[in-house]
Amino acid sequence: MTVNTMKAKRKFDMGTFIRANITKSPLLAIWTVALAAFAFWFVGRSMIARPLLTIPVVIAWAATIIWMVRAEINKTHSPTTLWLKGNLYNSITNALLSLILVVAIIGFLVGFITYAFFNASFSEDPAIAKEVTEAGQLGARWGSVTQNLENLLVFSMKTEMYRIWASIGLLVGLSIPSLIIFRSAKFNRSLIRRILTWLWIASPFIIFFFLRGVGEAGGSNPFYAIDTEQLWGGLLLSLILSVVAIVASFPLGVLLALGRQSKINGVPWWLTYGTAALLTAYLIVTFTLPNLEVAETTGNYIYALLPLLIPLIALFFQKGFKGNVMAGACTVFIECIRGVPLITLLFSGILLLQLFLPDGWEPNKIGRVMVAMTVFSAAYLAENIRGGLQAIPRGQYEAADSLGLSTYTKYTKIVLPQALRIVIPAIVGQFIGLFKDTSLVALVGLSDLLNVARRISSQQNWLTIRTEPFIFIFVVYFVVSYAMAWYSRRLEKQLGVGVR
Amino acid sequence: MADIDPNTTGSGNSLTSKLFDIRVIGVIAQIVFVILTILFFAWLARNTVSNLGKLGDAQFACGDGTSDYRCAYNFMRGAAAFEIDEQSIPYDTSDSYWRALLVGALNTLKVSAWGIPLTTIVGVFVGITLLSPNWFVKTISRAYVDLFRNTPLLVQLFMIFFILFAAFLPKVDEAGSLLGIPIYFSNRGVSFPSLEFMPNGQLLRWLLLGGFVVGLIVWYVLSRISYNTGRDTKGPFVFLGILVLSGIIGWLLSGNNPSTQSIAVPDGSAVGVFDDIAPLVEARLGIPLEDVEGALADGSLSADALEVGQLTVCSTLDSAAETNFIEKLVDANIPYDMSRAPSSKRFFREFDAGDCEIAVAETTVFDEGLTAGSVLTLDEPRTVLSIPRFIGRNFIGGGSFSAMFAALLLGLVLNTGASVAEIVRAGIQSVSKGQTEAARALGLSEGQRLRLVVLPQALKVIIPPLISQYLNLIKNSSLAIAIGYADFWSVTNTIVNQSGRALQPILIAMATYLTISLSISSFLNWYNGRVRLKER
Amino acid sequence: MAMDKSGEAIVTCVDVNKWYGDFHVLKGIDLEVTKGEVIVILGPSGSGKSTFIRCINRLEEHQEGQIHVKGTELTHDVRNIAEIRREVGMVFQQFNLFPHLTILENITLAPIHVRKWNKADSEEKAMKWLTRVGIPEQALKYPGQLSGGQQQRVAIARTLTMEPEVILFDEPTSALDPEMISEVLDVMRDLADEGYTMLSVTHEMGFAKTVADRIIFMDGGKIVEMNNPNEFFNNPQHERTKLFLSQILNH
Repeated sequence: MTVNTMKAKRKFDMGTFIRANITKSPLLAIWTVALAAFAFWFVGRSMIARPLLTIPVVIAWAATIIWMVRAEINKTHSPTTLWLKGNLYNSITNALLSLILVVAIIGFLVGFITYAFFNASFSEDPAIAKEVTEAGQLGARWGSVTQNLENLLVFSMKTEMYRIWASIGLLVGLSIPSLIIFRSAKFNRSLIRRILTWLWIASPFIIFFFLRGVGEAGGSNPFYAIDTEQLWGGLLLSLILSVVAIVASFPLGVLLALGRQSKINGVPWWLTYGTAALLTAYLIVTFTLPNLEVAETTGNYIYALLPLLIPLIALFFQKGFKGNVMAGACTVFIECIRGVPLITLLFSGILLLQLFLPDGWEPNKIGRVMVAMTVFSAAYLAENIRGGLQAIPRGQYEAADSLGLSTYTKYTKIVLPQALRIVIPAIVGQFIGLFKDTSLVALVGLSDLLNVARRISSQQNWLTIRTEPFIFIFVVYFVVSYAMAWYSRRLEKQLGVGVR
Repeated sequence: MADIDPNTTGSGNSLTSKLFDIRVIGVIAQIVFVILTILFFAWLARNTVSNLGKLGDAQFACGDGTSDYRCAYNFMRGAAAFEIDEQSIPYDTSDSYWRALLVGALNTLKVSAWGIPLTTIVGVFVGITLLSPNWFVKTISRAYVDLFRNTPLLVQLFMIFFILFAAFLPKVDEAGSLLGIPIYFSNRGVSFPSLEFMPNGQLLRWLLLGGFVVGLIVWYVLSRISYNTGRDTKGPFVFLGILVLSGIIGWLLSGNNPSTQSIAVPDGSAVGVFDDIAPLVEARLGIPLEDVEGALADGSLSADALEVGQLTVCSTLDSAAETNFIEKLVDANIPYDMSRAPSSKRFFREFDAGDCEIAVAETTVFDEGLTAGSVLTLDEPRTVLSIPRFIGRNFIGGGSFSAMFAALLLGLVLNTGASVAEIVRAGIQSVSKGQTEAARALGLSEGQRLRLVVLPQALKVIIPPLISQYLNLIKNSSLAIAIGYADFWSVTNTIVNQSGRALQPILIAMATYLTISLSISSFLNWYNGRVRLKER
Repeated sequence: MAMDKSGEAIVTCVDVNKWYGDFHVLKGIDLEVTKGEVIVILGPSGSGKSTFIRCINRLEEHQEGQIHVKGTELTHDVRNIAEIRREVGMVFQQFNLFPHLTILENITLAPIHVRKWNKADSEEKAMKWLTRVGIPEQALKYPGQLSGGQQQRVAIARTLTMEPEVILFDEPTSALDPEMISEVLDVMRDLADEGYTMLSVTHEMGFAKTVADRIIFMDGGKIVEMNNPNEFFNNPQHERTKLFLSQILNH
């Protein structure tokens, strides 16, 4: 505002104005003329299509410009005219752009509102919906969404709603006291605050118990185990998957981060190379030589030469990580997971996981997807946490060492509490990412929000109806993600990250 | 550090004191870790072997009746036996799985190669508009960025493909041109004019490309000189000059090469040279060729009669020869019907079966295996401006994107573009106000300030996350499977279903993605290291 | 802890050598610190004085020579390292308080986890020391809420609650605003008077003159001169020392 006020004090000069906006360079002149022509054409079209909305806009545009220009010339700026000058009309180009954009926005909104409300049908009877929407030009049949609302939100869990209500009850029951206890300094160190914190940490596990259940049906246990693959779906499944992935990946992520960061003494070079040399020599004699003979007929030389990889691996760990195999292995794991698309991991989970497990371990599709998403999440989480670890100043480690704290105490009491606090916003960000990524499970056949929406178009009542369910889930994804992102930004400010 | 230095071992050389030596503890921990890891992998391997055993010997069939692990990948040499809709290299169902994978990989490459520059353009543009002084511009770009960053890419892809393309774009036979320019959007994709270089014009093409690259380098060098000396070195003009010059040289040098394209006619055909075609078709239709369109419109020529009378042509898919030939037919007003074979094998099959009066291809293709009929020369210019035309059920000529490709590209560009926009905005904002004020105080103009002060500093902040976004784009292109674009992952998945083997194709795919990711991230590490070195 | 300069050696360094890669930082340092002695180490920056005292509690590793603390040799043996770190306290230039813990928790953390005292005892001792350094009322605040001088006093209390045999001070006043330096120096002076064994790297000449029993001047990784304060300041023996002192006094 200060710049504007200063400019406002200077006398308005028509010559300067024209030079700055039109005649400064030939390109600017051409651009201004072209933009003006386009604005004329565009607004004219809109005027014909929607005169009642466009004409007032044009009048308001012209009036505010005159108002602002008068204020500029007479040096009688009010806050409003200054805002207009700073944000809408600070040059001819911007004044024209403002007009074009406001007319375009109106056009878009009118089109969308007409489609979504005036021409739309809210009936769940497909016959009526068809009749109503075909009377107008283009109208939404929201019945396709409302009739499937339960499917979209909880899928087949609609028969087990008490489990969901119990979960929501738990969350609400925890939230209300939290609002008081976490806000006031009075409870800063109290036992009740500690209990509440632990309950929050336990809540994902309790909710998982509510939703999945344990034990046989019948009897007095209301939370008996259900077939999750058949029942879980919709938004509920997306939320479950993202929460499970972030919670389950947490310990793994912390370990991976600490491992990659670790400065443990490495294996001495003579031990690494010695072992590698012995092993390679042994394998060359027992494996390569016989297979090379076979390869003379089959041409499969690569297979016979596989043992030669061992010295390469030894060299990799020794040169790249100074023999710190732990750091090396964690790095390799993290980079391998981060280097492949999530979808390849999901398919591997569905198709290959069973192959790696012993007899009798047969997780269902949801379990397999959970494993894949947890592994995926752990790699990214580890990198986030590592960022937090790197942000801890060296003095903290030295102070802990000089006090004689053990490595375990040093990390659990000093380093991790600080590092984790720094990375909370990043973890929320990752959670949002995971929530969005759960949509990929639609491609491996789970009934998540996206897949339920996709299948509506094959229901008898709503054949080929795709737009409305997609708009609905688009809004759901947006609202959930945006709300979390907003909360994360608030949290970031509260924690004062970066302002130690 | 890692090796034990005998000089520093302290008092007490007993075994117990060795065990408490911090270096020994470290090494023991490492060795325990290695052993545990090996045990874990051994456990996985044992399970895998036993599970694979249950799947039967066919998994590792060697083709000679035996079965062995070393034959795990032998099946990849077998015939793929599935169609791929889009291909940059010839591919046929009788080609191997390896070739199918290569086709998929090239499709991934294609969408990435288009996506990365487009994403950069969208991202930089929106990143700047996010900082626009105009409230409407700022708000609209903010809305775009927030909407696309807070919803899943997959949902965006579905909406683009099923709503925007399927519901809003016209059917292919109703597609109209865009403001009179022959660009056609339809629910089948996009068709647009393209400049095709004939084999004769290849030298011209490469010289133009070389001129472009050399011009860019010279431009960059000149801008460094301008940066260091403050002289205006007129980089853009030098760039244009080099481009035009290399074009002229290419044009002059490439004219006199012998023709490399041919047409073939079956034995006993009435066509001896190209000019014989027009009278032949004219005679069959019974009206002058230039009147055909009018006659079709007023009904004096029926569609059936046209179908019988028009020229039938075989070609290989998307060959330069086809483009060249069609342009000639169009110039002479000859109505034709086109059959386009995806591979030269099928092309010969169709020609031998008598499906067409004329076959057109590069001469080398005919050399491969034409058994009957005679080959005629086809007059060939350096370049052909090919314009898409709706013939039969499809657009022929020009360049085209299939709906799947266009939807995937649009989705990837819009989604990644939103992230890039945020990166660009943050990069520009990271250059502190003090820098701007200092530049103003030095009397630099606005343009100089952006070019000399803001941009170099902002780029340092922008480039590393930008490259990660490119990597994301490549990885996210694997979502192509959702809308049926035959990218690398989609082909892999088809192979899994087709061959009944899951482990090997998925391993190949993951290894490939990993190679791409690791090479890009090691480049990034190198770049970061270099920048950090300069900052010291 | 009464005044007791009995001559019992607490820290003994014999021919301590250290390299950073090719750079020879410490070149054969020999030093014996007796109980109750206050030693001030002076020297230009880069002379290795900080590195030397950081070697005594193994924040840095020496590669040759021996360091003994109360008869325990500092080796790679983790038990020895733990033993020595228990007995050697350190106060840092940047305080290095734990920002996520209250002042009281900062102080009691090590007594509880290292000395294995119970919580009540630890808190009692902590409060005693906080009172001694003059800020008992800040016990429940967080480090970020305190001034630099107060933070450094907390750091001293944190070290002393562990009841160490030796306290190392690594430029304890260098990061402080001028008006806060004296409050920290006063605490250090009191400690010296009470007979604590102290090794201090500092640039505070006044403190060195009045409090130190011995002054060590280091340059280029060697002990150039070692003397009592009176002799050191008034009758320096070595050319390098004279130069250093003249630069400081002219300043």
